[in-house]
Amino acid sequence: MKSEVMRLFHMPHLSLLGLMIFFSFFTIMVLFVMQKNRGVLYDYLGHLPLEEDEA
Amino acid sequence: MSTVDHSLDNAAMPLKPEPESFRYDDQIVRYFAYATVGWALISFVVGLLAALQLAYWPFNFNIPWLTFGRLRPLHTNAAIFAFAGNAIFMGIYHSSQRLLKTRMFSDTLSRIHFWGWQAIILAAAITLPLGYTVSKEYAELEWPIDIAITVVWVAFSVNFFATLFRRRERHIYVAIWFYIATLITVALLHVVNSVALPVSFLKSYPVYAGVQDAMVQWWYGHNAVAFFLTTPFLGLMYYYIPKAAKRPVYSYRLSIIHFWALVFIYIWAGPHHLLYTALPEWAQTLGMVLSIMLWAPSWGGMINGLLTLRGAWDRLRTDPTIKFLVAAVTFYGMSTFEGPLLSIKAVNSLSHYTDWTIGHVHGGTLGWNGLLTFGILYYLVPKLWNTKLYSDKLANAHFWLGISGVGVYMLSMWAAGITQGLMWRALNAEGTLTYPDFIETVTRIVPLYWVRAIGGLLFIAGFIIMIYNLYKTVKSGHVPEEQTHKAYALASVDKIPANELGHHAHRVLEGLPAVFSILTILAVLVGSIIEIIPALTMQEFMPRSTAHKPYTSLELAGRDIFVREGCYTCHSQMIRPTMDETLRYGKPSTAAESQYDRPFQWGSKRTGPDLARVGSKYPDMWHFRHMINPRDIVPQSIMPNYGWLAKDQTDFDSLTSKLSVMQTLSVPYSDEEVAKASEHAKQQAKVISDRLREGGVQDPELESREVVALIAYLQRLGKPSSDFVPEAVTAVAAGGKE
Repeated sequence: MKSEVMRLFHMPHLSLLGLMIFFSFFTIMVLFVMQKNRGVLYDYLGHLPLEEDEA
Repeated sequence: MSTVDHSLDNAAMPLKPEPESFRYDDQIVRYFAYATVGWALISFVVGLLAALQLAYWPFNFNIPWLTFGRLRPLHTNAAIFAFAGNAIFMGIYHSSQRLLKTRMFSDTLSRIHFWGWQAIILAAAITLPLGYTVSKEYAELEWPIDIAITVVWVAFSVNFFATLFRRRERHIYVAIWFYIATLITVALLHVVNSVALPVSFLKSYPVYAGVQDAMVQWWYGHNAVAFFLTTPFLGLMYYYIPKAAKRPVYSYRLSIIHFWALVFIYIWAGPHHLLYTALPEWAQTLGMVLSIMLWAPSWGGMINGLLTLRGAWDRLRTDPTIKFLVAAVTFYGMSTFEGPLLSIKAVNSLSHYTDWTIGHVHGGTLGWNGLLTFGILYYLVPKLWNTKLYSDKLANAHFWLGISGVGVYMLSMWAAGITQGLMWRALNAEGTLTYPDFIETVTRIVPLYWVRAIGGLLFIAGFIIMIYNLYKTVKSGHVPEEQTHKAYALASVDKIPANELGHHAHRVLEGLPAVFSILTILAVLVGSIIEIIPALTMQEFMPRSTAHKPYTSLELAGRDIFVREGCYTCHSQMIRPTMDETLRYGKPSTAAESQYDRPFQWGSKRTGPDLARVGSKYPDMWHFRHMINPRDIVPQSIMPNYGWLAKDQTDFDSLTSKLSVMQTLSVPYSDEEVAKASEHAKQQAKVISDRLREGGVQDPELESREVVALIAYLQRLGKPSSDFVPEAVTAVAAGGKE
């Protein structure tokens, strides 16, 4: 089945590259975002739309 | 003149000892608000008229420019680019200035954007009903308008990014991220998909053909939904729901993951529009898998939006703005659940080409885009005119009519789509089709077309109530004097202490919108390159058939008429490799069969049967009578009469230019075929006309009628080469034999 699906795909290295980019990007992004010490910054950011009302 | 002081917000990074004063340009927001409401009314009414025509065909009043095939592109363009487009710009201009604490960079560019966009919409509203179309869905506009779109988009982008660079708020709120992704990706999609060679001022042929054209078109088409109807509206959601609820977004962390996941994954999903087609299997599978992956970020975003109301759910009962916003986000959740579901090949084999898809997209546009826009309008208009909403009761009435309308619309189209899909594939015990006559599957769902029209009518009724409510609100208010705001200018990043940059990499990223934009471009390019490049370069790997010849000049003229009339809006030209389709239409379509098709005509909906192998299935006279009055042939047909095709003249003079452009695009026409395009077309028209005259057609100028060219095209479909051979060539062949 795999060979049938890939029959007309002549750049197999692209799929490997895509998977690597995908996996590494998301892992780094999630680890970065979930850092505990970022809570203060995110709290500040979350309130940005409300500043006008709070002023 | 009142003053709002934001100077403390950036106290950590003052460049000057005194805060700067500035004012917001809300007049441009009012302009876009007017345009949103005006174009919404037009797109909704055109949509209702198109819906009524499917229930009762004479609603086109026998007027060419009011006929479904021309009206449907007008409706979709008006809904997406006029209604949703102006709504996006309204929200972006309003929220960006406040989130960035600065006026838009240039009032002039803002006005160029506004008036340029309205001029483009007007040009679309004139050219599409007149039949000037490329026929690529949501990209139907001809090349001069495409260039105008590019110019106006550049003006908008320059204005937006310049505003971003001179902002007074260091951090870029997530809504702005979604706007950046929209600006960048829409530009990329539009430019790549619109590349075409002009034949004349309002006629062009795409540089891509057949399967490649399909691949690029649906990479564009799906991402028009993603980056025009989703990402900017998500940006608006992240700004206006916290504003209306007076609460910060539920999870800012989740909004970041939502953004990157959506931008990264969405761009891959286009091929799910081409499942079971002649598109290579790998591309279909890739599109399906990435579409299913979209469930996660989409629902993450929806949950984030809804939970922003934590502790304020009681306001759902009293605040019309909140009602609309929450209902919109709920519809977003429903649509983004249904989209990946329909992308699963097994489900798609049932749903594709049916009204299920129509129900799905209207859940998105009316439910998500529509209700969110209405909520924003109910929030913004009182603020922009410094007053209170005229009537909460009327807004509530609008809400219930609106969601009832969307509900009735979706349910009727789900029922119609599933019914028709099941009837198409139903087989008897003997292995034959249970419903061999396509018309049986149409008449069964016509009652549901009436129900759908009722749904649309309810939605429009609610919308008209909103217009009245907002009109009274505006009348009771006034345009307020512009407030002066104060905030510190930002230090440039190179003036931020190095140690601070080191500790706060996130701030660096946010402090450098150019870097952020490049990352966004990379995110959309990864998917685009991996998916599109193999598709564009696989030409040598495709089973190219030399047995397939290009269209004759008359067939090409007929094809252009087919495109002009929007026949593809109801008829596909792609037989899927399933038992029922093979039994009904013949062997599955191949990529080689559409290798010269510019634009491809695979279609996305079957209100009528597939035409991929209709050539020679019926005599010329059958087609002639069918085009003049389909009910002469199929009494229950809902296809409009195309009487004007038997009166209007074929444009023979342009054929040399058309073949010449095709030749430039590597279609193997000989120089003689190009030079004698008109002459050959007239010869072929004579052959068909003679046969029609034998059938009783009495028209001394029959050869020059458009219907003859269209018949030539229809009779060619499914055949590798034309039955017609030009006289000179015939004579030479005969001479050779002698």
